[in-house]
Amino acid sequence: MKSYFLDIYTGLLSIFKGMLLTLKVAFQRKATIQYPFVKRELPSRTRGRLNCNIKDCIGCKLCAVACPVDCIYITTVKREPPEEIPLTSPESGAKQRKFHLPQFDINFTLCCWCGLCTVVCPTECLTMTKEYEFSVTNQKELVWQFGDNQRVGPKESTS
Amino acid sequence: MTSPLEDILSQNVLITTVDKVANWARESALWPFTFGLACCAIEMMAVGSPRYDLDRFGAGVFRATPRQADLMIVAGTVTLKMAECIKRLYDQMAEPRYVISMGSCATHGGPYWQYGYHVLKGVDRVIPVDIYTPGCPPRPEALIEGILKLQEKIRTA
Repeated sequence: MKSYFLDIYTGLLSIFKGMLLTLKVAFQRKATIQYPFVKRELPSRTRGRLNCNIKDCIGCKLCAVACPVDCIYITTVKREPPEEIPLTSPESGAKQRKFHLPQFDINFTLCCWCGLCTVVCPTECLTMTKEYEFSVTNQKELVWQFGDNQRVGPKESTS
Repeated sequence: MTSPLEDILSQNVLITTVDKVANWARESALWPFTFGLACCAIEMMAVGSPRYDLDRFGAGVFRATPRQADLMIVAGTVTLKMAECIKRLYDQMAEPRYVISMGSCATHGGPYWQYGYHVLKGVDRVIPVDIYTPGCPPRPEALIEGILKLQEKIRTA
C-alpha cells in the first residue's frame, strides 16, 4: 500500500519536474533561425563560393596551380604588340594584363572551399564570397564561367 | 482549344488533377533517410537540430529504414565499398524516392576525384540524383536550400 502511493508521488513529481523545464525553455529566446526568410550573419572570413573579378586578373595561373583538386581551368592568349596592354585597377597594384582570358572556369562540383587560390592570387581578383546557396538539378550547371566578356554564372544553363 | 464540356469539368472538384494533390503530399512530408557517410553528415545532423530545424519543412523525421523514407541525402564520400550498399538501400526505398547529393564528394568525388582509388566519382554513377548541393561541406542552410529546391521540383513535376 505504501509503495502504491509512493509510486504515484514519484510519478507526479517527475512530471512536474519535466513540465517545469518545459516552462522555463518556453520563455527563453528561440534558437531557430527562420532560414529562408532570415539568414544567419556569417563571420567576416567565411569561405563561400569563389568569385573572380576578371578585369583584375593577369592570367598568371597561380590559382590553378595552387588548387589541390585542379578545379580552375584557365586559357590565356597573349596580347600581340599592336594591341595596347591594359592595366588592372589601382587597388590591385595596376599590373599589366598581358593575356586575354577567353576561359576562366571554376568547377564547383570539385571545389573544396579551401581558399588556397585566393591566398596566392597576386592581384586579389579571386575572392571567396559569402554566398553558399546554389543547389542545382543538373551537375553541369555547377561549372561557372568568369572569363573575358562572359556573363558570370553557370556555363551551361539547362533550365 | 477546350470544349464547353471540359470547361465545366475543369471547375469540378471531384475530377481534379490527382497529381497536384499527390505532389503536395509528397513535398510536404519528405522523410529523409538516416544515412550519413562522412563529414557532411555532421552538417546534416545540424540541419535537424533546433537552430536550423528541418521539421519546419516537414522533412525532419529521419527514418532508420529505407522502407519508410522518401528522401536519401547522400552526405559524404561514397567509397566503392559503400556504393553497393547505397544502391541496395536505394532499391529498397519505396517510390516515389528522391536523392540529394550533398557536397563535393557525393557529387563528383571531391578531393579524391583524381587519385582516389577507393572513391566513387559521383554518386550519380549508381543512383539517379535530383539535387546537387555544392559545398565542402555545405552549410546547413545550403542543405535546406537544396531541400526547398527539391520541393519546388516535386511541385512543378
